[in-house]
Amino acid sequence: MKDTNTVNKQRWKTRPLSQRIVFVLVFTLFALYAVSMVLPFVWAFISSLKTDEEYFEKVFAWPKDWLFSNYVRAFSEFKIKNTSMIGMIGNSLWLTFAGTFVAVMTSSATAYIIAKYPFWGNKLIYSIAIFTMIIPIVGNLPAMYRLVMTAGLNNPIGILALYAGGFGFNFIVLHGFYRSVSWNYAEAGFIDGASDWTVYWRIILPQALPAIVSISILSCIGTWNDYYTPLLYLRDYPTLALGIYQFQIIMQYRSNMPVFYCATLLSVVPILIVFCCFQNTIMENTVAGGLKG
Amino acid sequence: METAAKAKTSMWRNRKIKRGIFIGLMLSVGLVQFAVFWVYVNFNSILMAFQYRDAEGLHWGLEQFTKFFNALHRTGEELDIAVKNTLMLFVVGTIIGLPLNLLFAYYLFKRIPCAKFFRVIFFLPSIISSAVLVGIFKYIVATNGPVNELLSIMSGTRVEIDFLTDERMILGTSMSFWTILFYCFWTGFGSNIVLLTGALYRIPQDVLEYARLDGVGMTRELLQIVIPMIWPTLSTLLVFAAAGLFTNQGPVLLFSEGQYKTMTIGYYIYDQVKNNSYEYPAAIGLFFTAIGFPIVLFVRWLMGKIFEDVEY
Repeated sequence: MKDTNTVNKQRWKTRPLSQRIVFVLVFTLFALYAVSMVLPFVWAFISSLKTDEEYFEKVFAWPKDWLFSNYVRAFSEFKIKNTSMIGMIGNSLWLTFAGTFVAVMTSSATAYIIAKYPFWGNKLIYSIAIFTMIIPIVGNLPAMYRLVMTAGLNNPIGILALYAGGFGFNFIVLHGFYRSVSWNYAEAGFIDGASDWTVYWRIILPQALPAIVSISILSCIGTWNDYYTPLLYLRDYPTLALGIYQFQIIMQYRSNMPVFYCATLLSVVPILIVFCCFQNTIMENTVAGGLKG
Repeated sequence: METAAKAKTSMWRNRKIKRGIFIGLMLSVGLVQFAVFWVYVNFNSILMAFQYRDAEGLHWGLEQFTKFFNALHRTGEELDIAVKNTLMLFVVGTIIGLPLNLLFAYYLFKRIPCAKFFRVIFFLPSIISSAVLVGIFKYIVATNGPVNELLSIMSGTRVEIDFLTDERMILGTSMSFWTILFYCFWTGFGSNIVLLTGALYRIPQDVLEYARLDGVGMTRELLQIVIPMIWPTLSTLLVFAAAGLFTNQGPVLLFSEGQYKTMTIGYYIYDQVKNNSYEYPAAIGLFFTAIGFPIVLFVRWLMGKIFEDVEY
């Protein structure tokens, strides 16, 4: 990644004194925050290696034995009703990938048409897209809940309907991107006899891959972490995020803290890996398209 | 000649039809979904707000709204607490939070040492499930958890502050909700930092170069150059925050399920639905949508008035 922010690249000694003082203060603040963010996870990790009794015995103590076996135990003991850890991971994987696929494909199709094909409804649809993002609709949960339940969409397949929306953040990003893509390639394709469909799939979409990858990753992360939708509609098919919440309720009756911490850390690891690999892509391409400045 | 022209027109018409079908198919999924899950749902939601159930069945009327206004007046009770807490959520999250987000993004932009590392740290809470974050947070601030233990060690006496269930009011909000506000503050830094960083990087470097050569310090640079130049991004963030004023539930479900005076408007609606009441929360939602919408429009107008968009 080319570093474009060169004007701020200054040798420490050449920075004015006032700036250096501010930097020291701010750096300390940031460092304290970083510590406060990392320490809880360190503590969670250490707690995950204890026994349940040890955990409540003394707060600041190293585990007597480093029970890495707890992580294996987690797979059998981290259960919500009939769903085991593996089951929850499976539910999470399905919802994450299928949901993201549906969401990205739908918004890409919508964004592509609105960006490239001028027709009578074009401006109207775009205005609707913006409108829906600005209007603050409170309390459509009752009506939505009723619809999903009566239509029987509260299962892993039906729930995908909720993800198949053409508007929203994904639409804005992809619309901005498609706007900026040159139509010359498409025209070359048309001259060669390609259909609109072929142009989309073979010519334009591959060019949009960076943007599509970034919003897909963000969508995957969001869905993997979402506990609310499964809580409302997928009670019988809990995902890992929902399981972590529900397990705390179960623990009120039968404490099992180490296994709980194992499960939470296991759920975080895939996210961290994805983030480490795609960090630059995410942070570079997540620009609400069309905003200047 | 005639047949050739006719063939050409029909081929052109064919093409147009094919293109029309293409457009229709591509838009179909999104538009149908929109029609069902946005238009129908919201329309139904409005209708439900004017219905009520009794022993005989479903009726039309303003009963839900009367019920709502009566509940609002009972100071100290759930709905009243919910409104106050929701406003506090906005104050902490946006009024305090957004300027801080900008300040932190600015310092990272000025290349404070280890900026890349800090940027990741700030962004972490946004990519970790709040089920996980709140779960761990709750056990850390528990009465027998590390925070209280640390305070006990430091003060020499047994300290057991009940961060999660204490209902005593401080500045109009319960202690338990201040804990939730702190959590939102502590995890809320990264959310906007990515967008703001993007905007900062788009500022033409020569403008900043000239300013630095002219001896402009950081404060002046931030207030007089940077903020006006990234105003579109800033105002968009503010408008979205204003739109989220009443819809923002906060992590109330994960913390306390609304107990200990931690109710918010969004959670109250969820709680009603959970208890099989649908018309009442629909009415509440309609009310807050109706006052939220002009607020958003006002904020949008205000943002446009403060700075003219700079072209570059």
